[in-house]
Amino acid sequence: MTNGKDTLLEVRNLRTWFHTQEGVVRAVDGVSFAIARGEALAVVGESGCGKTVTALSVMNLVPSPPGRIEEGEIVFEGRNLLEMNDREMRQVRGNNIGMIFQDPMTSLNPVFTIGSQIREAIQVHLGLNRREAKRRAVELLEMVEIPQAERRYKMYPHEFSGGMRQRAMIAMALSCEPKLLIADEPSTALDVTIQAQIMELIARLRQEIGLAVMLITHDLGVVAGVAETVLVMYAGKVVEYADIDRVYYNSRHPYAWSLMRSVPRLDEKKDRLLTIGGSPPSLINLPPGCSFSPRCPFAEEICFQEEPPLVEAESGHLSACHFAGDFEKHGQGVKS
Amino acid sequence: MSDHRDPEDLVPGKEPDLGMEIEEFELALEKQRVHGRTALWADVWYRLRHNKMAMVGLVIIVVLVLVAIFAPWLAPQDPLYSPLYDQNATPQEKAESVKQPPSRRHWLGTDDLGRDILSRLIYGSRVSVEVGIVAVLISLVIGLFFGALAGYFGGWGDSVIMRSADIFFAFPTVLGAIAIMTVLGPGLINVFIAIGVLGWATIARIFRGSILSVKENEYVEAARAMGAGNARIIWKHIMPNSIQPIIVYATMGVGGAILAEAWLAFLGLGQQLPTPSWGNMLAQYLPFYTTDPWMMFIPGTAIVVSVLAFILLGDGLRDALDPRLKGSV
Repeated sequence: MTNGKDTLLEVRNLRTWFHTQEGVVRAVDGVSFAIARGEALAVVGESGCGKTVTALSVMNLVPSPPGRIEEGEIVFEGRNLLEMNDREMRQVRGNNIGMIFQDPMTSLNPVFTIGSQIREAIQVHLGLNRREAKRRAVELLEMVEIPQAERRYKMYPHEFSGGMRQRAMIAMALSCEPKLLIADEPSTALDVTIQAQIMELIARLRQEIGLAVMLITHDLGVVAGVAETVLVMYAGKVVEYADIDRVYYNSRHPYAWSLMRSVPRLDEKKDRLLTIGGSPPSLINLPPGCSFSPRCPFAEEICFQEEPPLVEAESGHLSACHFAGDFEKHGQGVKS
Repeated sequence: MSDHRDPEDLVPGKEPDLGMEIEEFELALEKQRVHGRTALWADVWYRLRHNKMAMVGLVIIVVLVLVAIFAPWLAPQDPLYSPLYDQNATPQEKAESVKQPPSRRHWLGTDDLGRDILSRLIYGSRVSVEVGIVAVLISLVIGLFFGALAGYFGGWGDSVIMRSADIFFAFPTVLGAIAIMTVLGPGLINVFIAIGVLGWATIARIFRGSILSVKENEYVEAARAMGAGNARIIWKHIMPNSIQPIIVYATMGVGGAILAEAWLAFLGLGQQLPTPSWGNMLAQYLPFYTTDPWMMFIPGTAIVVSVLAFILLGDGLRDALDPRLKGSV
């Protein structure tokens, strides 16, 4: 949500479908959002709700076939990425948009040293010579708080711990000074203390270099520290989109509302956490009406028949629920 | 990679892991500086060095190559010199020069034209080494190119390439080579082409399989997200990670090519007389197997020993490149 600020990335009505033998999987079905310069947007949702495919679509890296971006616009700094040819798109990747992946254990090439991998990216994108590129790579390793950067530069990925590899990945993603960093569950494969460090690092880098971040995660605790805006996805669609405080404290969608209540909190005493019954629907055969209706504790007649549009429940707070705003009143006998 | 701890972790040149104390770490770094930092190849060499059979193979190969290179200096005689055609030789010398058993003058005896067999054997090694290297290089260039195309891009190109490879598989190598040689005519250059072209299918298939698994790695995705193009991804990220089975196969393939050349020369399709190759020597000595059987054993043994050497080295390389496979095949 850019609120009139300088828009960096705008995604409009993105539909990315996978044409499989079983049928068409609508992994991303009509998703729109925008990221302003320096803004951090968190995309949250269960596994398989289309978070990663959304990110890959922005990078134009959807595995094809079977994946295809059916329609939509992805406008980055005024240019539609979907209309670019391969060559232009390669320029955007790395130079303008950097991406880091879930598993830092496998995202580095095992046969080259950490340093040479970062250096190569710099040489290719920024056209620096070997020595300058090396100096810059060491600086980057220092920036992501890798101690003894000069030495680690010469090491292979297998000599790095998970957290250090993720730092190295971040250094590589930032090597060409991108304006947007897409982080696809950057801390999921790490243990909790390292997670916190990585998130802190991302938050610090945002401050220092004015980086915009698209953070994909299913961990709501991770979101809180970093993002300003939250996009909640369910079954390939946006169900709630607002700034973080509103989603956390004044959710207007039962899915997001349930998610918030399924997370343990230090400042609230609860005996049991809320669970969301059932499992996410198959993206090939979506239930009629609202996709969340079979699992929704507040669902009523209309929810099973009509698909709710994404509407502004209050200013700057989008929700796709028939009862956006007062769904709790419709719920009978549900205790949080 | 990081969670295995076996005695090989103590190998000098092996890179340090990060769990260690700073002092140990400094020490390990020091060792690393001394022993070079290509840990993989240092490890491979370490494991290879401790494989006796592979070292036997390697020594034989080194000797073979040196002999081929220095043939003019090593050969005691001109391999083509025959007293029968020497105007200065007396009739008695001519009569006595033929089919001599090994002696101090002719270590491996002389053939039916009185030529020194050792010299012919030494010069013959040149043909074998040349064929081995050139034919395998041809196979590698074609095989790696098409294997990479098929494995990386997939789709209909993959089908076309792999079905063509299947056609090549349908021919036994020697039969196929004979067919090609019949079309191209005899001669060493055509042997290179025939053996080289026939070998591509296996290399393409191995490389394709290797690429299929390597390209799913996240670092390939990460490279693409960094804006790397296909050529760069194949060359820098996929090739080094999928080349190991190719190294093994190519090593053994050199032995195979030497054998195939011997076959063709034996059938009169390869290196033409009087220039010696081990295959045509074998064919030349075959008629005398009842009267002087030792003659044909000389080139025969040379062929067997060198082919075996490449197989031993290839086997050792496979174990050295991937210790987990050891003993499994």
